[in-house]
Amino acid sequence: MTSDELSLEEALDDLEAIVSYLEEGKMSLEESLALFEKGIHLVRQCRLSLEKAEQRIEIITGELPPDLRG
Amino acid sequence: MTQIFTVSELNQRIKDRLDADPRLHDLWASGEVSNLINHRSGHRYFTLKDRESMISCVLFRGQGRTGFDLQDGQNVLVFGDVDCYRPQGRVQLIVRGVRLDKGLGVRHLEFEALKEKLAAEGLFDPEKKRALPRYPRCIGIVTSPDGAALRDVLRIVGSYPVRIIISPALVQGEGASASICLAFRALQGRTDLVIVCRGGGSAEDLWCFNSEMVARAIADCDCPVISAVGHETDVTIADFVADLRAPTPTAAARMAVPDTTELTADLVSLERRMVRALWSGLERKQEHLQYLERDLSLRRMRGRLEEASQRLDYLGQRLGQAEQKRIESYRQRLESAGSRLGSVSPLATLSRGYSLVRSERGLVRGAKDVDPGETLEIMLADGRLWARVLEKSG
Repeated sequence: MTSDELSLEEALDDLEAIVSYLEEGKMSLEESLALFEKGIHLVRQCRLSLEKAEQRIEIITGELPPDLRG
Repeated sequence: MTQIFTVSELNQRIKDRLDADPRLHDLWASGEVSNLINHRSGHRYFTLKDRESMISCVLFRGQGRTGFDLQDGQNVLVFGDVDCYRPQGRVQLIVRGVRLDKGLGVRHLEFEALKEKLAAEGLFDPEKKRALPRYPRCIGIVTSPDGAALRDVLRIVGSYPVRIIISPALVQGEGASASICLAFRALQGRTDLVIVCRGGGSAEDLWCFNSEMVARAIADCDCPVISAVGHETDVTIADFVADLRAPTPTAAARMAVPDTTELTADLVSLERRMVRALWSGLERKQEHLQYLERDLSLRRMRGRLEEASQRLDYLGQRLGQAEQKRIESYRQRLESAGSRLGSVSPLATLSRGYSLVRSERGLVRGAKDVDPGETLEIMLADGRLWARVLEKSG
């Protein structure tokens, strides 16, 4: 499972964490703004990956392992 | 002499032989029902089998009322005649009566025995069921690459971005169980969710999903497994072992991936919450600032008041009795000075009978300061008089 950028799962997890941080409201204004910006970026990324719905389908072909060979 | 038959002639001959054999008529046969088809015509077709062999059976409409609900897996005694169905050259039993034999079919007994054994081992325990990943990244599908089940799964999963590995398997017939196990083995370490599925079929067709080796392959799978074998009413051992059982392959796919419409809506709400949180954060900061501002001026004022009152207390203490005596002496001195001042005051002179006369121009010291007709103010000890000058002399 190679992926250079964040997977949808990681992006959504991060996003949820960011929202709850922001909702706690314990950060400085600068921190809040930086997080907000990051959050917006994540939203965009998730949306993009959902719109693309990129799929890679592969079919396994191969020989039987020795213990399963007749 | 060698005779060459046409196929029709051959089948006719077989049929004639069967018809002629009295032992193949009005007979009883026992076996297990499988592949039962309730045809629209009202005729019923099924296979009667035992461990080694099977034979096709037909129960024509209106023939032999069974008195019970004929089902796959039942052990029955059938009454009828052996016949050859010429168009297909098929030997079959024309059934005229069916009676339920005692007990379940052999396969059902096997099924129950395996189920009991695996349950005792804890393979079906609810606490063993693993939770599905919320956002799977790579889904393995164990199924026949040509089946409708695979197409159904791909159709649903298609709207979600995920990697899919199809691990082909035979899903019916000989070697199917081993093939399914192999397909599971091939996915080892590569997926975070596996769907094992197959479309509807006879109990016979689905039988490979009731094998112990398939059950163990599912239990040993390194990620959660969703099983969707046959129709909703078909329940296999595989379904018991799987972490989640889906009624159909389509339903399995729906369970496997989040609904993209819902996800998109979630994103919108997350975005909204984020904006709201940022705003309310700003408002909170503003309020806090205002509070601090107010607090600061209040505190400053209170501070001054406290300082002043402390100083007052301090001064009050310092004003001891000695100081008060000094104040007393000041007062006495003040009084005596007052009385001395009184003796030199013009008021004292006035009290002795003198008076002061003033005109508009000031104090009158002599007749020259006054003109006849002028009004003068005469100050006495106890009051004032205003008098007009009639005449002046001197």
